[in-house]
Amino acid sequence: MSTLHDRLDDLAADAPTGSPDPDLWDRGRRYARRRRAGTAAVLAVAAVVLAVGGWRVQDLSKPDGELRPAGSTAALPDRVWEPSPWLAGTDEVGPPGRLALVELGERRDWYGSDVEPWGISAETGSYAFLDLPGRAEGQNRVTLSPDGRLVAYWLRGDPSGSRASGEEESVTGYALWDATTGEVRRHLVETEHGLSVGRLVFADAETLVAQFGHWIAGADGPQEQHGVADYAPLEVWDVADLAPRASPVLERAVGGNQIDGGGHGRIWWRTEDTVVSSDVHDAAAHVRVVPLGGSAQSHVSAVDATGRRAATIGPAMSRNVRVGEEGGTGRRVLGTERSIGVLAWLDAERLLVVRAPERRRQLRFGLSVVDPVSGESTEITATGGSPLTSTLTGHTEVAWQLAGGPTFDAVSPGHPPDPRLVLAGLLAVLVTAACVLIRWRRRGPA
Amino acid sequence: MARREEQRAAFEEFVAARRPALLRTAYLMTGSHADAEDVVQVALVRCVPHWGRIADRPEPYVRTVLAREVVSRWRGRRWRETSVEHLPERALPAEDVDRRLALRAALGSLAPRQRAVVVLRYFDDLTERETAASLGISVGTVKSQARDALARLRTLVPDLDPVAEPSTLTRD
Repeated sequence: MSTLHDRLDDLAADAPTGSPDPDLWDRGRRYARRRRAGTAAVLAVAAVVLAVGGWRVQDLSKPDGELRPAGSTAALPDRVWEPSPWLAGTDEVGPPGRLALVELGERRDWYGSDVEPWGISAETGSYAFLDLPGRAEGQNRVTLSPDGRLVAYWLRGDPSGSRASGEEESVTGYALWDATTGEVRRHLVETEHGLSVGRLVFADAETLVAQFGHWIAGADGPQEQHGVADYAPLEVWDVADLAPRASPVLERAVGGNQIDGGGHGRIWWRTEDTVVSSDVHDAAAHVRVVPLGGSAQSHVSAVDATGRRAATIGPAMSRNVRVGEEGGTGRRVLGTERSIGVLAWLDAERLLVVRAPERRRQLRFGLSVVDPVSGESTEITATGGSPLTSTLTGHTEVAWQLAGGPTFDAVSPGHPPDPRLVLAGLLAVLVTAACVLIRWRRRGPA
Repeated sequence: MARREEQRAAFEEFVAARRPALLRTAYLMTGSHADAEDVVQVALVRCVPHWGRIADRPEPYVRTVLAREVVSRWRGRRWRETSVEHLPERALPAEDVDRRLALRAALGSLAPRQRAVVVLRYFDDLTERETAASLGISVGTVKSQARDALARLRTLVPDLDPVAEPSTLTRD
């Protein structure tokens, strides 16, 4: 019997005994040099890949051409693109200046996505999501003033009592965001259970009208009162004033109908086949009823400065512009097929209409100026499909006062890539470089 | 430059003094003369870039590189080797040769890491902690690998002294 140590010792006596390679040290030095060179090469390749990738990401994030200089004359762009969901917000890039158009679009962050308003600067042509301070998250629909200077939106807040049933956050007021300065003017409404949101509309560039109600019970109130609201008088905010004023007279004229902004100091609302409008400053004296005839389909309509004429979109079959006049019966404007909304009555001879000018590209909606008599139509802003289609639901906001002037040559916004993919790519490069490096450094000497 | 020459002299002095011991360890781990010489040579060349740092006490580092080189080589070539569960029964020659061959064959039947653990623990007399550090594994793994290896060696080489039990051979 012998111990393992003895047996190993005995076996080790068979080990080779040849003399060492006299060149070992020099081979070691060469090996060290080769290892250093290989390491430097791998790091250099990784650095080049990262630099090229970084440059590409930067390049993708930039607009496809030169933007207009800040302070340029406000105008509508001749073309609109749908921006990347990773587009920067105004918190990041600053106030955009007067806005040409506001749309809703998907906005993504690291943890998910939401539908949020984005806008195009009427001055520079740049795109940005609108980071509106205090905006109630569930209320992504915002309203743009006709001159593109102000954006109105609903504010979140804490009601004095319990929150209404089913609401994760309450609306307790509304605000005006100045797109040229980024300043916000808030109007908070005393409310026990939060506001039931109605409409925020601009009667003209200086006058905002708010329509809302108060929830009558909180989540802890009687079940039968959940979802029931008392409508408050319409509030009219002359932006030169510090705060809005309630207008019971206007409220009586509107009679609970959902309002919209007509421009020219008027608001309008629809009944079955008429457009009724009212001067916000003198409601009692200036209510106008314009019959449109037929079964008008679109709720995106417009009234002219006098309130005596109105325009909307006809039945779904042809979707022509339909024009009516006080005391008349309403008529179809020939040659205006494939229209989906009348945004404004620019002046006596021009309507601003969202329509697809080409029959074979029926979903390519753009902004057209239409003669309400002859039906002659000129597209002023073209789009690439999805933008402006939310006009179908009334969510496109256009600074229509700019539509009378020339458009500017727009450039496509940057398309910043998903930063998660960028990070994954970065990690992939680093991990690959590390693996190559480890394999290389593990390689034995030649 | 002078420093480089000093390092070279120290390296060559170390090689002259310790190469035979390293070859014995490598031979026990590989079971082959050619592999042992090659592995020792590669390990020494690999240590040259670090010599300035390890010159004061090079042996542990060199043994670490040596042991890992053996294990890593086995991983690289195992696809073309076939391990056998049982040693083939055959007639043995003279007693000494027979004893050596039996042990060599038994070592050869162990997994390379088990073989390295046995050699480092029971031939080089490293502690479990030193063995673990040399192989880049945990002390617990060293213990379990040693236990399994010894059990197999006892089976394959029945005349091994029971003093070789892991518990009696653990220094720390």
